[in-house]
Amino acid sequence: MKMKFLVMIFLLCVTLVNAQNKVLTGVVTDKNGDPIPGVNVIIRGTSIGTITDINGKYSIDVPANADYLEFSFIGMKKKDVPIENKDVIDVTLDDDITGLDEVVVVGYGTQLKKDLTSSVAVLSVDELKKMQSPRIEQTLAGRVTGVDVASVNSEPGAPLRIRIRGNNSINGNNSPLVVIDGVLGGDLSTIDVNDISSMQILKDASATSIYGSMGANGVIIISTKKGRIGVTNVDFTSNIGFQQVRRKIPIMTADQEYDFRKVDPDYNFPDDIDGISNPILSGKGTDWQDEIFQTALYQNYHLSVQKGNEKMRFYLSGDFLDQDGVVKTSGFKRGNIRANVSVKLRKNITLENRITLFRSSTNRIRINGSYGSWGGPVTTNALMFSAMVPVYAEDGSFNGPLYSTSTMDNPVSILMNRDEEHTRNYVQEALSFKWEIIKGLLYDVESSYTNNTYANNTYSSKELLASLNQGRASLENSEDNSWQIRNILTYNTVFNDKHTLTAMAAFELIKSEYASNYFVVNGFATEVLSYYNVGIGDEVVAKGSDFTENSLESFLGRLTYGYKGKYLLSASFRADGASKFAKNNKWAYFPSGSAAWVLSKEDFLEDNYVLTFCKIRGSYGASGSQAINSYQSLASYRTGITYSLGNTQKTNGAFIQRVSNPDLKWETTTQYDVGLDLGFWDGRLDLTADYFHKKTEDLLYSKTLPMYSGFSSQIQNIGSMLNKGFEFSANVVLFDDAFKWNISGNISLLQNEVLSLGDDEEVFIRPPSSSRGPGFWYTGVLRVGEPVGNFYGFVADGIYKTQDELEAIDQPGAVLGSVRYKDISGPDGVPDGVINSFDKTIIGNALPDVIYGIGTDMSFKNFDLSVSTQGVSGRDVMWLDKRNIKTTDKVNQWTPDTPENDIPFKGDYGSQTNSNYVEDGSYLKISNITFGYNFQMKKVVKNMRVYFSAINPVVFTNYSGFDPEVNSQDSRGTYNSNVALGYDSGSYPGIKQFLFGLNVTF
Amino acid sequence: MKYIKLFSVLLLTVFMAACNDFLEENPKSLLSPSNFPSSAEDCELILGGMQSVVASQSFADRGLYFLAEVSSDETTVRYTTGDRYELDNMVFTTDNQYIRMTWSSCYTIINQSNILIKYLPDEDWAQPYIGAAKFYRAWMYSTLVRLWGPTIVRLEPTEQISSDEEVVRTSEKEVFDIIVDDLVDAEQKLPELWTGNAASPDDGRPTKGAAKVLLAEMYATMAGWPVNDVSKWKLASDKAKEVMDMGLYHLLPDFADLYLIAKKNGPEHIFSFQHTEPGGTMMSIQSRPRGEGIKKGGWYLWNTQESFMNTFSDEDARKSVTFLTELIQPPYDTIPYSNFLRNPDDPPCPAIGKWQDFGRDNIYDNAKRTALIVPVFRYAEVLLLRAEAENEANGPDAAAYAAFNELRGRSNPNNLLPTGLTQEQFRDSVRKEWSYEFAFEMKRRYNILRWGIIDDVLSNDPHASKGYQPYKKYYPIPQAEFDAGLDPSLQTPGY
Repeated sequence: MKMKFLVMIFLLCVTLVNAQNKVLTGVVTDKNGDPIPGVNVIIRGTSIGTITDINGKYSIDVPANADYLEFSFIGMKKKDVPIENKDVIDVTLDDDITGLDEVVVVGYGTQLKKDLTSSVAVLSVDELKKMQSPRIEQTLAGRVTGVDVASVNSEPGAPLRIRIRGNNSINGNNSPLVVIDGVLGGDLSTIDVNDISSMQILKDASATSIYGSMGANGVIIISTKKGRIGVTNVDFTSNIGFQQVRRKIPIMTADQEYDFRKVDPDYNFPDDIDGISNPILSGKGTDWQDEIFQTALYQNYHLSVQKGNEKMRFYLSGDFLDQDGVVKTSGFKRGNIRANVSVKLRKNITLENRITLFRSSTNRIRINGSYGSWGGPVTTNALMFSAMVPVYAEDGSFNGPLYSTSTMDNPVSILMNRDEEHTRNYVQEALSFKWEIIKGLLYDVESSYTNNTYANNTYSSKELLASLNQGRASLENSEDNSWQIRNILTYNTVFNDKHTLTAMAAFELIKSEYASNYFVVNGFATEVLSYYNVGIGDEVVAKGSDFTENSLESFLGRLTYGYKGKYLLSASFRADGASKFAKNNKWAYFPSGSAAWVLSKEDFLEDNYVLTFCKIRGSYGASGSQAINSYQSLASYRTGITYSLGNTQKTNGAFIQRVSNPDLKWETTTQYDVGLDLGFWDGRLDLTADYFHKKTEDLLYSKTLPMYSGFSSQIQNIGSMLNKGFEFSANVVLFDDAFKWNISGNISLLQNEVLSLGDDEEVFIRPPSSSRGPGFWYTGVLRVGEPVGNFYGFVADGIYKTQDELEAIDQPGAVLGSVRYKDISGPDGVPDGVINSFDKTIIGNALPDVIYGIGTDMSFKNFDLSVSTQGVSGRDVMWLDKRNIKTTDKVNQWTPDTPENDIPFKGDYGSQTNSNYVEDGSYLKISNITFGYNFQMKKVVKNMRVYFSAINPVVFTNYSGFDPEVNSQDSRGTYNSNVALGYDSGSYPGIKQFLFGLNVTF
Repeated sequence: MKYIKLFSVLLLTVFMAACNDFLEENPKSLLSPSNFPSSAEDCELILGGMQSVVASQSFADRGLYFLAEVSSDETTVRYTTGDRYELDNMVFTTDNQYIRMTWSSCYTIINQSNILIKYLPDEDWAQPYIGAAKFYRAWMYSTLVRLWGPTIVRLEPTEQISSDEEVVRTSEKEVFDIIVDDLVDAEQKLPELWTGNAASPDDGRPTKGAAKVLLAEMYATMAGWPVNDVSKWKLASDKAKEVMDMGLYHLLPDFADLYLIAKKNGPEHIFSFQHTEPGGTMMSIQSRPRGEGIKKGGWYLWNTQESFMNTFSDEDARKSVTFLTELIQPPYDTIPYSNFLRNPDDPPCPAIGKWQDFGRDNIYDNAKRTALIVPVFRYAEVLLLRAEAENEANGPDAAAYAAFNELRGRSNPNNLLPTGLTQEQFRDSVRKEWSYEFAFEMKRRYNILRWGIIDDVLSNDPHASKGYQPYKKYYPIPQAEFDAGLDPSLQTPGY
C-alpha cells in the first residue's frame, strides 16, 4: 500500500517536471456583459488555477498537455472550454437557477448538491439576507421542511426553540447541534445574519451520524463569510424601526367589571374592596395593558470590510443591535466583532484564523410561572388587575390588587421595582491549517477555543411580595470554556473519468469546563444601589458554586463513491468516547450508509427537456444524544442542606442522593429516510419529497427504585420514542427575465409516539406553574402509545342551566352556572353518574401535525418584493390564565337573570383542568414582507438598496391569548420543558416589527 | 519518506491522546462516596444531613406523626375522608402517603448509616461517627419493627441497583437483636457530650445517653409483645439506672417549660428533633386549631378527644399544657374549643397544646413555622422506664417508687403514688403515667403494642374501631414497593 502511494507521488512529480508552459488570458463576463470578479479558473484535472480580478480578467500558466479550462462561480453554471491552440479565451457565464452545482457543506467536508445522497437543506446568502431578523433562527421558520422553529416567547433576546424532525428525548436536550465554521456546539445567537455565507440543515441519519453522539437532533451548519478573491467591498446595512404588541386582549372596562361583579351574591360591593385606599374608578378605568406596553424602538447596524487576492483574504465585520421590548423596561443589546483572515503561506498551504467577540445584555422582566408568593408574572397581572383600581394610590405609592388577599403585585410596580440584567461575553478563536499534500489529498487541522461568561443579576425591591420589607439581590456568575482540535485527512480522486471517490478520516478531541457561583442577599436598608453593591445587604440567604468538566474523543471516517454522477454511495462511521458515559459504556459507535440514483443521467432520460433532473435517495444510520449530565453515572452527595445544630442553624449538611449507574449511556436514534428530488425545465420547477422514520431507543428515563434501597429513583436507559413523517417542498420559477418571480412552498407532516417508558404506562405532567390549586397540579399526561405534549383533564360540556341538569349527575361543587364536565367513564369503564378522576381524558395535544410555509420573491428592474408566510396546524395551546382574567366576552356570563347565556357564572371556566382551557393553537402568519429598491451606481458607491420590512405583521389564528406560538416554561429543568409543551402561563406577548433598511456597498 | 514520518507523528499524537485518562471523570465540585467523608469535619456534615431528614415533613414533622401518634387512641383527626382520616380510623390503603414517606425516610437514613459504617476507618477520630451511624440505624430499625413488624433488613449500603437480589422480611426477634448489637456498640463509641455544655446536653447529634435510653426502651419492648423475653426487664431497668447515674440529665422543675422555644434543649432533653428559624417545624401550625371566629388559624391536621382530656386530674399541672381548650386572640376575643373544627360525629374536641408556645411575645407566631424542638427522648422517660422495668423485674420496690414519684412529684405533687401497691396496681399506674407525661409525643402506639393490648385498645376506640383488625397493628409495605418490583408475597399478612 505504502509502495503504491510512493509510486503515485513519484509519477505525479515526473509529469509536473515534464510539462511545458504557455500563458493564457481572457475576460469572464455575465450575460449582461458585466465583468465577474472572483471566478475560479482551473485547468481540468489539475490543481493549477487562478481567479479573475476586479475587471473579470485572468491570466494562467498552462502546461502543454492541458486540454480544458474550467470556469466556476457561485450562482453561475460551470463552464468547460477546450484550450486547443488559443491564447485568449473570453467566457460568458450563465446564471444557474438549479443550484445543483452548489457546494454544500456537510459534516467534515463538502459535496456538490447534485451528489448528495442524504437529506440536507441549504439556505443561501440571498435568502438569509432578505430577512433582516435579529435572530437567525427566525429566518429558518417556514423555509425548511422538517424544521419547527417556535419562539418560546417574544421577549427581546429570548432563545428560539428549534426541533428538527420532532422531539427525540424526554430527559435530554432536543435542540439540534450547531456547527459554525467547523466548530461544534456553536450558538446561533452569537451570529448576525449579514455575516453568514451559507447555512445547511442536516436532517437524516446518514448526514448526522458523522456527528455521532451529538447528531440525533439534526445538525445546523453555518459558514461565515471569508472575503472573496478579487473583490474589495465595504458594506453597510442599517435597520431602524419600531415594534408593537400584535394583539391586546380585550378586558372589561371599570363599568363593565362593576356590573359583572354586581351579580355575584357573595360580593358586597364596594365594602369588600380593602386592597386600595382611594376611590375606585368608573368609566373605562385603568387599562393595565396600556400601562405596561409600549411602542418600542429597534435599531441594528452592520458594517463589513472584505478584500481578497490570491495570497490573502479577509473579512472584518462589526454589528450592533439595540432592541427595546414592547413591555416597558425589557430590552436587548448586542455587539459583535468578527475577523476572518486566511493567508496562503505556500501554494498548497493555507492558514485561516477567525476571531469572534460578542457581548449582549438583556434586561428582563418577570414573566412565565412565578405565581403565589412570587407575586405573579407582569403580563398575567396586567390582565388580572381590576380596571377599577388606579395605578397609584393618593400618596403616590402603587396600589395593590382589588382584594388584599390576592397574592399579586401591581404590574407597573413589578416593572419599576425590579431590575434583572443578564450579560454575556463570548470570545472565540479558531485557527486552522490546510495542507494539500499532493493533489487530491488534503490535510486539515482545526483548533478552537471558546469562552463564554455570563452574569445574571436581579434586584427585587422591598415593595414586591417576593421580597416584601426585605429587598433581595441575587447574583449569578458562570463561565464555560471549550477547546476543540480536529485532524482531517481527505482524499479526492476521479479515475477513468467515471469513478469519483472521496475518503475522509478524522480524529477529534473536545474538552469543556463549566464553572458557576451564585449568592442571594436579603435585607436592604436603602435600595438605591440595586444589585451593584450587595455589601449593604443584611444577610446572605443562599450561596453555592459548581464546576464540571467533560471530554469527548472521536474517530470518524466517510467514504463516498460516484459512478458517472449516476450512482452515488456513501458510508460513514464514527466512534465516540465520552467522559459523561458510565464506565461500562465509554465508547459509542455510529454507522450509516446511503445511496442515490440519478435517473436523469440514464439514457432514457438524458435528452428529456421536461424532467431535467431526477434523483432517488435512501439512507439509514444511527446517531446519538448525550442526554446525560456530567457525573450523572457517579454516586454523589447532596450538599448545602439546612439543619439545626442545637440553637444554631447550619446550611452545610450533606446526604447521599444518587447511586451510581455504571451502565448509563447515550440515547441512540436510528433513522431511515427515502427521498426524491425532481427538477423540471432546467430548474424552472424543483420538487423534493422525503419520508423518514426515526426511532430513539435507550431513552433516559427516571426509573422508580424500591425505597428500601435508600433511593427513590435512578436515571436509566429504558424508554423509546418514534417520530415519522413526510416532507415536501417545491420551488417554481415563473419568470426569469427582467421580471423575475418565483414561489416556493413546503409542508411537513409529523407523527410522534412514545413507545416505551420502561415499566410505566403513563406519567402525569405538571404545568409551568403549580399555584393554581389542586385542580391544576397535573394538566398533562405522557402515555405509552400517545405523542408527547398531551393535555389531560375533563371534557367541558357547556354549563348547568337548570336544577334538573344539576341533579342528574354528581359533580362535586357544581352549582347553577358552573361548567359541566362530561361523564365519560367510571370504575367499571362505563359512565357512572359521578364526575371523578375516571372522567379525565386527553383533551388536546401541543405538537403540530403539520408545519408549512409559502414564500414568494419577485423583482422588476430595480424593485424587489418578497413575502414569506409560515403556519402550523393541529396544535393546541392550554391557556391557564383564562380562568381569572376578566375578558370582555365574560360580560355575557350566565346569571339567574340571563339564563340564556353560555359563559359560566363569574366567568369561571372550572376549578379543574378541562377542555375550556385548551384552544386551537393553529396559525398562519405572514412572517415577512420586504419591499426594496436598488439604486444602480458605478462610482464610489457600487450599490445601494433601500427597503421596508414588516416582520410578523399579521397572524391568522383562533387563539384568544396573546400569541399562539407561546411556550411558557419554568425552571423545572429539561424534563419539564420537553414534556410540558404548549402552555400559556404569563407569557410575553407576540410582537410585530416594522423596519426601514438601507444597504450600501462601497 | 517525508510523508511516512509525518503520518507516524500524526498517528502518535492520536494514540497519545487515546491512551491517557482523557475520558475519566474526576468531579471537583461533587462529593462522592469515593472521596467523602474522610474526616471528622466531613462526618459532621453528614450528621447534619441525617438530622434534616429525620426532622423533615416526610418523617417526624408529619409522616411519622401520623403513623406513630395519630393512629393511636389518644390522637384523632377532624377529617371525614383522605389519607389522614384513613390512618386515624384504621381504614387506610397500601397507597397511604404517610406510610410511604415514613417507610422511605427510614431506609434513606439506614442507607446513609450503612455507608458510614462500611467506609469509616477504624481510627480514633471516626469512633463517635461510627457510633452515631449505628445509633441512627438502630433507631430506624426500632421504628420499622414497631410499625411494620418483620421488616426488610439492609446492613450494607446500596451501591448498585440489581433486580435479582433476594429480599426477605426478618422476624421481630432478629431485628431486635440487630438493634441491640448496634446500640451496645454505639453507647461505647458515642460521646456523652459533643459540645462540652452540660447544661444543654442535646444539640441534635446522638449521644451516649440517647443510645442508652433507646437501648432501655428496646429491652422493655423485647420483654413485652411479641418477643416476650421477660429476662429483658432487668436489663431495661439497669440501663435506665445507668442514665440516671450519668448525672447529666435531670427533670426541669416546671413541666410547661419543656415546650417553650426560649427554654429548649435544657437538661431534661436527651435527644430531640431540632428546629431553628427561618424555616423550622410545622408542628405548631399543624396542631393549631381552625374554626368559627378564629383569625389566624393553623392547618389543624390533628386533634384529641374530651374523653382523653378528662382522664387527667385537674390538679395535674400537665393537663393545661397538654391540651389547648381555648384560643386566645389578643386584642380581640378568646375562642372556646367548642368552636374548633371537628369530625361531625365527635363531641367538641380540644386541640393538642404541647406544640403551641404560650410564652411568645406574639402569640400569632404559632401560626407559622417555629423553632420548637420535638422530643424523642427526655429524662422523664428514663424515670418511667426505670419504674416500669423495676416493677416488672422485681415488683414495686423502693427503686420503682422513687423513680415514679420523682416524675409525678414534679407535676402533681399532691398525688404521689401511695405505698403498698401490688405489682399489678403499680403497673396500672405506670401505664397511665405514660399517657399523662408523654401524651402526643409518639410513645402511645409503641406502648400499647408492647403491652399486648393494642387489639383491645383500638377495637374499643371510637375512631380506630371503624376499621381496626388485629392484622392492622402492623402497617402494609407501601404499594409503590411492589410497583417497583418487590415480590407481592412479602406484603404484611392481611393486606
